[in-house]
Amino acid sequence: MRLITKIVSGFALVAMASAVSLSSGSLPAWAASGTTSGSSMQMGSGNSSGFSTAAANSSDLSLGAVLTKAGSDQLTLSVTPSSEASANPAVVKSLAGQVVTFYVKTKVFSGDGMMAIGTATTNAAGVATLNYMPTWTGMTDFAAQMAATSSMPQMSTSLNFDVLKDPTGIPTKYFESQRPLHGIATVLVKFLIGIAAAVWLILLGTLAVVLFRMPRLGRSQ
Amino acid sequence: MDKNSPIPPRDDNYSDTESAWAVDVRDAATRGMTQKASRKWWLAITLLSLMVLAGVYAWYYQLKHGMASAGYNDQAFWAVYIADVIAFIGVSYGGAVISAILRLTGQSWRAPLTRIAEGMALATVIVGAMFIFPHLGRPERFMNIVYYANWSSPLVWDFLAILTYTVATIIFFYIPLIPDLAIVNRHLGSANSPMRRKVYSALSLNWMGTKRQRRLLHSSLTLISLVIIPLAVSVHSVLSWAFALTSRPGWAETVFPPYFVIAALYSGTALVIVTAAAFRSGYKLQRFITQRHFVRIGYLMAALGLVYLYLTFADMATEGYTGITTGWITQTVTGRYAIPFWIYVLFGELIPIVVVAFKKFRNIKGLTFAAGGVVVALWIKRLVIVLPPATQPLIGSFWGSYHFTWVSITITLAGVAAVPLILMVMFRLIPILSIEEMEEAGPIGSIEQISDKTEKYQDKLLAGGRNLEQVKTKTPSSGLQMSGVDPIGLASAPTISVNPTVNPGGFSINPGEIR
Repeated sequence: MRLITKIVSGFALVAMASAVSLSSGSLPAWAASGTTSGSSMQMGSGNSSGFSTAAANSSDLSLGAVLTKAGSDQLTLSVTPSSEASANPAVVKSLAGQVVTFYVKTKVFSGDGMMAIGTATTNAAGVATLNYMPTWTGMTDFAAQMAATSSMPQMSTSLNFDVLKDPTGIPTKYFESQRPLHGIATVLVKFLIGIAAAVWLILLGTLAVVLFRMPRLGRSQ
Repeated sequence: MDKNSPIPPRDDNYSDTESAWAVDVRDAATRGMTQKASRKWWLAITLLSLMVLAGVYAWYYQLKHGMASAGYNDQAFWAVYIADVIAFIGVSYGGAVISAILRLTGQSWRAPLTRIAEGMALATVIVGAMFIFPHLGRPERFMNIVYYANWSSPLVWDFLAILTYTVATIIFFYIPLIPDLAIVNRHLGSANSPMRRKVYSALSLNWMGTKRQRRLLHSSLTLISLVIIPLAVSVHSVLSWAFALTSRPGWAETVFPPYFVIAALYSGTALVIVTAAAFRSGYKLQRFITQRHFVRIGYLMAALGLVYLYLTFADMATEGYTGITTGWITQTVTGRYAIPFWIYVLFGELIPIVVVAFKKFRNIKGLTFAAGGVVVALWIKRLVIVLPPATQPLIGSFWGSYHFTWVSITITLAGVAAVPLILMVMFRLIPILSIEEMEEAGPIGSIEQISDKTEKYQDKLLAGGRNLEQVKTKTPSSGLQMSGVDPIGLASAPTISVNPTVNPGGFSINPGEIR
């Protein structure tokens, strides 16, 4: 029940916060994924033949995201069966107990690349959930992939999600206040800058004294 | 005052013996500057220069093809270059601090080693700082650390600390050089080129060796020595915080600052031994840098090694016991990083301790071998500190991996080659021995380091009930001051005359001359 609530609330938030893009098929086809706005979930395109009609196909998955309020910027990514798939108990059954790998699209030196961020196993309802702490804000592409089995093809889905600095309404100061040394940072920085300045003064002052006084002391002999 | 006098006058009156000693010191110190470079020297310089050039090309290749060409990836985002930065700046710290501590504690036996130790400190800090550029990947953004400084980040403080330390090392290297450049100018006379004479004359700041000049020199060196020790501690503490202030298991350790500082001192001490051994042999300084120097620094090295072993144990035991984030420990001790880790244990801990513990191995060869092993093992240890936590997954269970490529190996080897290259060129331009300090210590101050016969004499004194006391004695014949701890009770012997002509290979004491 809690999980369903989370998923539902997640979808609602996603609908408000982001545009969603979805894809199916293999992950390298990322760039070809379609984009739909205003909806939290969308059936992916494409289908695979050679499987029974009761089995899941590549359009049966969708990826949603929600930012939790667990005192952090944690993002919960959920892979769920599409509404059509959920209506078919045989498809839901085939989706249960499968390992889903989640990815985030990131810049890897020379170009974009997929970075695995973890795995999760689908529950009886075919839902797999992963908690992830985004390390940057802005529009971010996520993906999830379920490996092919004997009864269903490889499936993948993707999501374009706007990771906001403060999407949950929690003020930034809340996070800062969690740090034990919060508040002394400014004083500490000034103190350290003072020490560094003193060290530079001693070093350059000593050098200057040597440079200017030494020749004079030699002449005065 | 005659600027062309062969030996600049001192405040103390020189005896003949001391004058002879001074001339010997000057000859030895300037040998590299006056003698024509040998074929071996040119061969070494060519080889080292080629290695450095290869490193420059590898860096160009890396800039063109990205960090992946050096084996980096999104999981091994910190690897060999940051280990190089820590290792090189670490050994620099060792050289500078050892010189500073020995100077502050008045250890006159340090005199033949200070120039080598300080030169090594300077060369390694320059090379170490250079490694930051290949580590950055986008070096054209380097100045952003100044333009957009985030004072909450340890990286800004890293930059400031390394910059300050580099400047301090340069000053610490230059100030003791002032009298030596004046002495060299007079000692070499016309053997020095006019250009070089001009430069030395300008840099020696009209040094005449007057009392007031000496006082200024000593007080400024004491001040810089006092500053450079905490400064070096801060550099390595801040370097460690670049790791420890992250949330990565294996890096976020409270023990890291002292861990890094001790590692720096340990590896620096070892490199002082290696460098001293190399230049002692190459510049024929056997008479001035003796086994006793190596043994004393060897003791220091072993003591630091034991402290480092303890800190390594403390670091691993705490996390290993709680078992909260032990993935990196398993990977380090028994996993994919086990071989480098146990190489460190063998060469970085066991062998040095055995070498120092047993008299049979406690000689120049043994200590140099052990010290060389420590330098390499501590570099490997830095890699073991960097890689397992970097590649440990925070989410999921995919361990990242780092693989050396020709690019990272070539750049690292270029840094390794650059240090002896800088030192070899440096000691063609400046004296390799700290002439002023050695003359100040004099043959008496240096007597305990000179010959085996001295040791035998010292044993006799000890057998005769001389006690080991801290002394500060003014010897009547020379007027030289000897201060600090005299572990063999030499000061209790009223005066020791030393005749350098008796044994040209090394000073010896003629018991008949002991008054």
